[in-house]
Amino acid sequence: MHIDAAAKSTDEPLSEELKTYEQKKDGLAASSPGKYVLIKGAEIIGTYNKQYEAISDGYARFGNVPFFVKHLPLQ
Amino acid sequence: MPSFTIQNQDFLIKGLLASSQVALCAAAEDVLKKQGLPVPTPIGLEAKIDTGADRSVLSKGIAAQLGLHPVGVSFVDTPSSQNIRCYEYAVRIIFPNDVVWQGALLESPMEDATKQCLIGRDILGHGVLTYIGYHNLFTLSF
Repeated sequence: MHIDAAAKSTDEPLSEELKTYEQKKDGLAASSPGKYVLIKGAEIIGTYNKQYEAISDGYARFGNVPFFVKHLPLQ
Repeated sequence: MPSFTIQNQDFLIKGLLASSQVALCAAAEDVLKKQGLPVPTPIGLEAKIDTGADRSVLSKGIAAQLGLHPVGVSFVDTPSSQNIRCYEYAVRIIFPNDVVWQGALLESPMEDATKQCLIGRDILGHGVLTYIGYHNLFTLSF
């Protein structure tokens, strides 16, 4: 199974977050390469050194609802 | 360093399997407890070590059984289809000897009757895997 990091946008869950990520990923990767970004809707909540830190903060802020965590590419 | 060791004559045929459980991650559990909601019971499954996989994958349907919402999305190519949307879910994998890993797993895009979790390099990269083939034994440490 090959995993393509490229993303597309639809009306399915996390589509708004995916769109936000696509729009801002170059800037985020430049400022925080290798970190994890947490996105909710159109808002960048923060960047984190570890994936689980981003997930924990997502649950603490938003509860058991969809939110978006992504590993930013190294520049 | 927490670790577990499995010895099984079937490794050559079935692969490196470890009877494990998948549960909500601690952060999700905390949310449910604060809301006074019941925490779903962990689900037993076979965790299969797969050093050829870059991402760890959970059988389809397990995340729904645990009442999880996605925390990420990736697009996946399979032998029969391309660019399939797959969601990622935050879980806790409880390996033998109560060795625990927490993070996001990709849900398989394919229907699969077995309850299984492929442990790929995104998880293995955080630990030490020792496989002694002629002893039918492996150890995983985190």
